[in-house]
Amino acid sequence: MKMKFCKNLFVLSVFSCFASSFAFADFSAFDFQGDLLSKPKRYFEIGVDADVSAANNLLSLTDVLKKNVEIDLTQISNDLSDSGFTLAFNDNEKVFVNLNISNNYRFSIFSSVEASSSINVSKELFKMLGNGLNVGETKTVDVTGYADVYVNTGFSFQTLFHGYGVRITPTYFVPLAYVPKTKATGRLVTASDGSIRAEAEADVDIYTAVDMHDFMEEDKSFDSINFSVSDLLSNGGFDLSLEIENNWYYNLNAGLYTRIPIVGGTLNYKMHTRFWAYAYEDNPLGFLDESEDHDTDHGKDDFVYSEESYKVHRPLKFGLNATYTPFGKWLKVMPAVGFAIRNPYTSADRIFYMEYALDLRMSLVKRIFNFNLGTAYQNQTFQQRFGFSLNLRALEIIAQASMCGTTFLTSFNHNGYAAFVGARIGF
Amino acid sequence: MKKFSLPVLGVFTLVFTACNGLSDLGMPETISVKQKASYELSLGGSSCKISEKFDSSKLQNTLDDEKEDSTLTVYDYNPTESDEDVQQYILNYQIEGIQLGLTADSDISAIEFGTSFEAPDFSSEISTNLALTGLSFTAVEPGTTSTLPETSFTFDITSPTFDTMLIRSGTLDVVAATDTPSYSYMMLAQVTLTDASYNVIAGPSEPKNIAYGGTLSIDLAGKTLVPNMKILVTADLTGGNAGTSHTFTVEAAPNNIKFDTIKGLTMTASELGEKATINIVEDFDLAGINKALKSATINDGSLSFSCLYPDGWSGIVVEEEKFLLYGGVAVADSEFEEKTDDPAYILYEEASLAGKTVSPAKVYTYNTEDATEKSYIKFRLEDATIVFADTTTGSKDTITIKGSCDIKEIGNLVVDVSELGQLSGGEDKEIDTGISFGSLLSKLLDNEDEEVSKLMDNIEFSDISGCLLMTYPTICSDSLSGISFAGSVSASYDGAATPLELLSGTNMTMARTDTVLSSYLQKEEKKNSDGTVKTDKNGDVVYKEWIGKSGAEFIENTKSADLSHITDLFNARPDNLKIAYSLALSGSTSDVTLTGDDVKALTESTSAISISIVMVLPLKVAFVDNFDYPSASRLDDGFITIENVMKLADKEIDEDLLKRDNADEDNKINKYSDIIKSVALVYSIENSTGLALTAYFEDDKVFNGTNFAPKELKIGESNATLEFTKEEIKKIFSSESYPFTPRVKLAIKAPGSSDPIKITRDSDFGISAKVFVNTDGSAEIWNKND
Repeated sequence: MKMKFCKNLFVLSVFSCFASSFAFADFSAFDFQGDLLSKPKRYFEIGVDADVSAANNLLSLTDVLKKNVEIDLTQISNDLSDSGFTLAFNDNEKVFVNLNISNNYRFSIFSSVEASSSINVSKELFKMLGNGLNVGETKTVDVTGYADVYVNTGFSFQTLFHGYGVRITPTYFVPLAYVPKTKATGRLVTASDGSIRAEAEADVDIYTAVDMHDFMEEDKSFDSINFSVSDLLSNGGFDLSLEIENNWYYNLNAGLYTRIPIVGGTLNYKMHTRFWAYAYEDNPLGFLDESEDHDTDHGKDDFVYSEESYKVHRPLKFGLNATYTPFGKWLKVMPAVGFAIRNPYTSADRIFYMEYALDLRMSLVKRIFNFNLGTAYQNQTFQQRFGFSLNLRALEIIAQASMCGTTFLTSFNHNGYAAFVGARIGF
Repeated sequence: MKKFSLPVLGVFTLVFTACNGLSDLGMPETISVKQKASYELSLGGSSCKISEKFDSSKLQNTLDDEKEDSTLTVYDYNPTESDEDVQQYILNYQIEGIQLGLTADSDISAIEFGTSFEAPDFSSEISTNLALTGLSFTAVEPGTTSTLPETSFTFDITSPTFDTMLIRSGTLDVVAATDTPSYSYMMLAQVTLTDASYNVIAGPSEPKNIAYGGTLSIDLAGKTLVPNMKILVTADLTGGNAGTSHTFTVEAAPNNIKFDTIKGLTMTASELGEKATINIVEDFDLAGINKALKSATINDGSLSFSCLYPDGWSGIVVEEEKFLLYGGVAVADSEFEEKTDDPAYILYEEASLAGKTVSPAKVYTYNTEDATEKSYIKFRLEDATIVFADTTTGSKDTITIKGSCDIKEIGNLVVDVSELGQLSGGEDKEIDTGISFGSLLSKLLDNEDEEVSKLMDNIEFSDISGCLLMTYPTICSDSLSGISFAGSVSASYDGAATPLELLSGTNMTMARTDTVLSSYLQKEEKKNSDGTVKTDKNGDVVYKEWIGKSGAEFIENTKSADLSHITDLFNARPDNLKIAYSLALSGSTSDVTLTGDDVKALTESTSAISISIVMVLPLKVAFVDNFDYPSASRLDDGFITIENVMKLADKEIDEDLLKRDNADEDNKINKYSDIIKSVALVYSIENSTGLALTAYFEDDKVFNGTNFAPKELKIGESNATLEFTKEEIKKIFSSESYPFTPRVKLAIKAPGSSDPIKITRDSDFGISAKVFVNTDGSAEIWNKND
């Protein structure tokens, strides 16, 4: 079974490699980098990118990596924004092959694995820990989160059309696992009669591309997962990205970008469970007259496995980006602004958020040494980033580090980090 | 260079920002939590109403535990029906309950008596008629070989007359005798029993040489005999001197015959002989009539004798019978009449009891002064079927004669007053109440500590009253109107030199009522402190019951006499309390005659004469400083000091309140005290019992500076504060305080017996509290060196 699993994975990887990617993502794996009117660096190139980020808005690296760590609950309660504590994670790994025949014929095939997750704890919990509790108060703590993993593959075609740079990128994506927006609610109620009640409950649905029953309930080994690549690929979704850019002024290019989900990917298996806990204490002084009562219990229901189809889409995106070269081509100012909608066709899970980016890119010594300095809010994470690339024509190596945060301010405060590395080989 | 300045500045700024503070990065060595917060929690409350803590049902259960079959009933007593008056109880101890009607143990209407006789064994009489004698036949020696010519004898059973006889076991033995034959002569013979038409009934017998004579046996087991039969003789002859003849004489007789069934049997009484007569010589009690009953006249009723056929029997004809009764009820033979033709009965005779007098004397079926005057049955058999029991299995045929009495209406009932109940004049009776004051309080408080009951010695009761409450049915008030009683009641207990006389008198009258104290119970739903209806764990409504104003009037109007010294009795706090009494009913006549209507009413109502000792116990008590709890630490200071109230209530904190396993664990616990600024308990203790109380919250270890000083609990003050400073909290968390088992010390002012207090029905003792925990500090929760 293990061999079979590995074989399937290998076939999927090879398929993905042959699909390849396009190489406009110089300093990040963000899909819409703009700068369509610039000349390509190589006629042909093969490249890989890896972009990982993790961030929160509560604790910074300097808070926890020091000799004497002090967790000031009251300070945390006061400083934390009303949105509560958020922890976000993103990962994007790509391989691609680009073929740039001319400015009118630029092709790319790519494949990537993309994962993201986010969890949020409402501020009420931190207010209770940091400020206290009064009789008669009801404290409600929500914990929300989501997670998804996709395998993407596609190709792009870029050309010049009446002076406009145009790139069309159809992408076929296969969702591997998806946790829709899940909310767990805990509630603490105190009353003047001496009753204290706490309860929490979370219904968790996990949709997967393969049946996880045997893996979860039996030997916990990947050998027990049985799937075929063809079945997996047949459940994929499809979306279409479109970018267009024009030279509006001698040193200013600007355009639009969008990604329109068209066909949702399908997950055919569902795992459901429920976590629950409760505790109550009625009238502690009642032990004197035997009117006191208390109980506590907690648990997790057994997973229920079912074959249930669930459609998911990659986020819809729309925005404007530009490339401004105020001092010549060695320096590019690249702003972008837009919006994104996760789960655009599922009202219960729909999440809307804005995105922006502002990068300064310097190319020195005949574009051998390249630097990037930027700030962005993409994939629901703020980044302050600095990157460097060494472009030796046949070989280019790119590295970028970012400070991240789930709020703009915490992104300057070591509350999270992102790392991007990439390499291209070509001529 | 100018054109490079902006991007370079930007790069520098970002790198500086990114690296700012990173130079101080290092692996954590300690982690601490800092907090400045205020937590408020309500601890709820507890209220102890005296009327509920010591409610009548709890007292009742406690006393029932003392003695299972106690007739003591405890009632909540509220004669003014006001909760502002003193809490009172009624202790109702029934010492006598005398049933007057003909119910239960005195029901003469259901009297039955009976006797069984072994059925006559007719087999011997029949067997005597089965013998056969005076028969003979001749056989000739053949010289060589020959057979006996056909030889048979008629075998008729002429007496008794019957149709068939099924034999269970036994043989028919045929004995042949002859003179001496020739030397070599042999006669190998067999006999067979046949009917008159030579159809074989039994046999043939085993072949046997009877040349010199002998016995041939025919097995009759399972064979059916008929009145006319034949015995067939066959034989093979050999040897001898040809022509020499011999004459054989033959006899036939049954051997050990056991009959199974005889059908069509007819035997006269004379043929049956003594077995034709069954004498009924019995005596029996009129069971269940109490000895107070002198006699009862019957208006309507009957007495019957019946005799059923044994299974399978028929054809028994009673030729003569005689039934007569002497003693408790007298019935002449002439008064019996045959009442049924039911073939299931051999006989059924019945006599009317109307006008008869029944007394609780023994009844005889014969004249005790003339033995010849007795009951009997004489019978004969006519075309009868008799099924004999298989005696090998031990079973016997029995004929049962039953007598039964059916009294429908009593004319009147004469009761001997002096014998009513056990109230015989001069007879002392003593009842062990099972009450021991020595253990009463500990049981009420569910605390088995012997020291607890000593606290009872600090309590002196006041104004306890008592009386005898005597009730009897008003149904027969005319009949019982003349009755009064006389005697005395006294109490004794362990350590009492002489019994304490509670009552003594003569010609004390009896109240006339058929109601009982419990019928004055009032009932209402119990309420919780928030006014909602109280329910038990099953969700059923909990009720409280009390005897109110009308009950008080009932006691006042029906009590016979006040008991004296009853308060002294309670204040003696007796152990093993026993009540002795000697009471006698008396009246204008020694007999009381109840009419039939009285008897009927009494029987239906199950009313009885009841005598109870009723005590009214108010919680009007004085406190005397005789004992502290525990007694070893007693101080004669005018206060009853209870070192640990929670221990008294069996709710002692006997494990470390901070849940530490040992004193060494204090380092882990103690560091959390750094984060606590103060702990305050805001409480309200309500006390409306009338008791003057002082209380302290303290460590159970003697205060020596390492623990916190005792803190006074302010009783009666609303929202009083009991505060623990940071230093005190640290002491509580320290190893010196392990195990931390705080207690509440209570002192009750005991001014002495001259100053009793009344504990009212609505008095209660309650506490409600909130706890405030203020934190302002930092506590280390991890250290890499730990």
